[in-house]
Amino acid sequence: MTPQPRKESIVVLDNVYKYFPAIETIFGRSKAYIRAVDGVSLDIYEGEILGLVGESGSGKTTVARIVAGLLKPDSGRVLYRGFDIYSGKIPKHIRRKIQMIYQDPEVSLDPRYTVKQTIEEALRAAGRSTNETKDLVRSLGLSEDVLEKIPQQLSGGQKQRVAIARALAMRPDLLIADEPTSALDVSTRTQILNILLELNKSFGITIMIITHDLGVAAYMSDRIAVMYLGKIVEVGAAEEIIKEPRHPYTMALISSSPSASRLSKVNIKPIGEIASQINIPKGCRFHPRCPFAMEICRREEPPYFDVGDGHVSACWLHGGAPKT
Amino acid sequence: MSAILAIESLSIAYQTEKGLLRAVDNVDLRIEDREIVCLVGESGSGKTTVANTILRILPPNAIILDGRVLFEGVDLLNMEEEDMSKIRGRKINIVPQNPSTALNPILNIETQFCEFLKHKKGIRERDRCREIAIDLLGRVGIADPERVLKLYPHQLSGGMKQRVLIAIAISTSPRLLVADEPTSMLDATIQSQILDLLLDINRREGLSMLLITHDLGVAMSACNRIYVMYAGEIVESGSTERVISKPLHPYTIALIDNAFLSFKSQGIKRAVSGEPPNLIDLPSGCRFSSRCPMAFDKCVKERPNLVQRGIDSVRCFLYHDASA
Ligand SMILES: Nc1ncnc2c1ncn2[C@@H]1O[C@H](COP(=O)(O)OP(=O)(O)O)[C@@H](O)[C@H]1O
Ligand SMILES: Nc1ncnc2c1ncn2[C@@H]1O[C@H](COP(=O)(O)OP(=O)(O)O)[C@@H](O)[C@H]1O
Ligand code: SF4
Ligand SMILES: [Mg+2]
Ligand SMILES: [Mg+2]
Repeated sequence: MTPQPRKESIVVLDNVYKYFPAIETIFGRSKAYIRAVDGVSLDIYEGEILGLVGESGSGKTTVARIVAGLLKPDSGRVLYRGFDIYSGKIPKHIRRKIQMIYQDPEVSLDPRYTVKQTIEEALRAAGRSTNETKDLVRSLGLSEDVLEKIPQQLSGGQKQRVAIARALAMRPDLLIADEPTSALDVSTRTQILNILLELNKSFGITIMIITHDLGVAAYMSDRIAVMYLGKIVEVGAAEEIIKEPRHPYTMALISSSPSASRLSKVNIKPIGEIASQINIPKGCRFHPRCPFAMEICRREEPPYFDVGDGHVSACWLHGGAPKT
Repeated sequence: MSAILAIESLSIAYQTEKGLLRAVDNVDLRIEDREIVCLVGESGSGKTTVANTILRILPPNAIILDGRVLFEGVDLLNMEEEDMSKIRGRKINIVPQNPSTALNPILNIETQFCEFLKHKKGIRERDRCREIAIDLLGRVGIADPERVLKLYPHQLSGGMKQRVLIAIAISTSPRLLVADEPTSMLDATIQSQILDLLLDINRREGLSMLLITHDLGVAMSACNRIYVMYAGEIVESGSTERVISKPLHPYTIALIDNAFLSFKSQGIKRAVSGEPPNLIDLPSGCRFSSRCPMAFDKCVKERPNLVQRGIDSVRCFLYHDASA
């Protein structure tokens, strides 16, 4: 499915799978699996902002953790600048280059550490001088009086800035932001999104932003990938994906979002509810909810069709010759 | 039109270790018969406090400083608890934010439904209750009510639980539904289905609704009129169309600009700087003044009044002269 690279890829996901055992019962582990990531291939291009969107449980965080080197996939390869990061122990210099920030910034902040201690420790780990602490904190729009505070004394927006500062101390070239603004109010949200845009523009840091909010994805992304039940169903240039989505699930997602539907002409409502990740529907995994489902959709999984200029969509509506 | 609900100069504070926290200050709000009114604001602006005051379920450390809550012309705040309990859960019902904690995990849906009907409507016969429950579940779009009645909450998705709770909420033919962030825990495609259901119920059952949300997109797609709340005060109100297309208050302008993002290619949005004020130590001037791009001398010294013009109102000095 990977389109002809127009740019150099910083990360390549090649047919990646990750299943989790479903509920453990008193009789031991059940045989059922949650197919969290169910055959994902995706390139992240150097210097771009890639938006990964989908509803909760679609596997976005699992993809993020796999890309960040934090979770070994069951199969498939993850290449960072051509290097297979799960072929052995991940070398430190590579691990530092890929940094992750979370919806809840406290995940990456020690509650007992002051902001100063957190940043200094990160700078030291990266072999940098702790003299840079103040500059780093200031460059994220934080005033110096936060330096002596612990996370509990900070607002949500301030904590997210500190988490970004900590990540930047490592001089990453890929930043994975997993729902970085989902816990914030709109007025603070734009502040954080603008910081990320600035990091991309001025320092060329590649960003993968994960969000369930298509408005955020539109604002941030050069390209958008749409995930449904462990699989990427559509990828393409951000404006194309929002304005002229080709996959019915993307259409449904956009129609359901008041902020994204203003940017688009599509309007379809999906039927019913998200299926279970354990019993993923046969054929096209979206077919039970799809208003356009045809006979073939119930039987066979659609391949990726190239619908133009690096825009691919896994849907039988595109018919024609599948892209191999 | 006659008001179902009229809140008049309501002020609520919470007693805290650090002092009196002014959660709601001098709030006026009207809901006409069959109207859907939205209360929009960021977290901490006082929305839930308003909802809990209407239902008289405020926590013990809350103090009602001032105001009236007239429901069908009668002040709920002056009522004996015994009389209030005949209104709460009968004439005024609630749709909760978190459908998962609102249902009892150890009882199946049928039992919970019947408990409610027994308690609120005196219906004791199991068959009669089942009949009513099946009818109501059908009315909230559940395709197989008989099966759902036998299930336990953990066997239902979040969207299904919310449908069940809405069915229970309309079982007493209430005049007013108070829905506090009814869709914020749900996924996008499910969120829009539940919103559609609430709109449908408003039309079919002829009831009024107070819809509380932090999401302007939700408000835009559901409400007749909007009240915008900031730091405990109503800063603007008007028809949804007018508020969205021609916002008056600088806070509303910023909120709309930040809620409805555009594409990356359109450039960076100007973020509102700073954060809302501390409700224990409020500024003497306009509560938005420290963040307002339009602020002038007077704004930091004096508090603006709410200027009323027809169904529109705005609390900002920029509009004081025009009305004088
Ligand atoms: N460590 C884990 N153990 C078991 N199941 C998991 C684990 N991590 C994720 N899952 C499951 O995998 C699916 C995908 O989860 P996730 O990647 O977090 O999705 P998203 O971020 O899109 O909400 C979900 O059903 C989730 O419950
Ligand atoms: N029981 C309480 N004790 C003290 N402060 C409270 C309590 N409940 C809410 N607050 C505070 O009151 C303000 C308004 O809260 P709330 O009405 O829940 O706002 P919203 O629903 O808009 O998020 C917030 O600052 C909140 O922290
Ligand atoms: S493949 Fe079929 S079921 Fe799947 S999205 Fe396309 S039309 Fe709908
Ligand atoms: Mg996630
Ligand atoms: Mg609330």
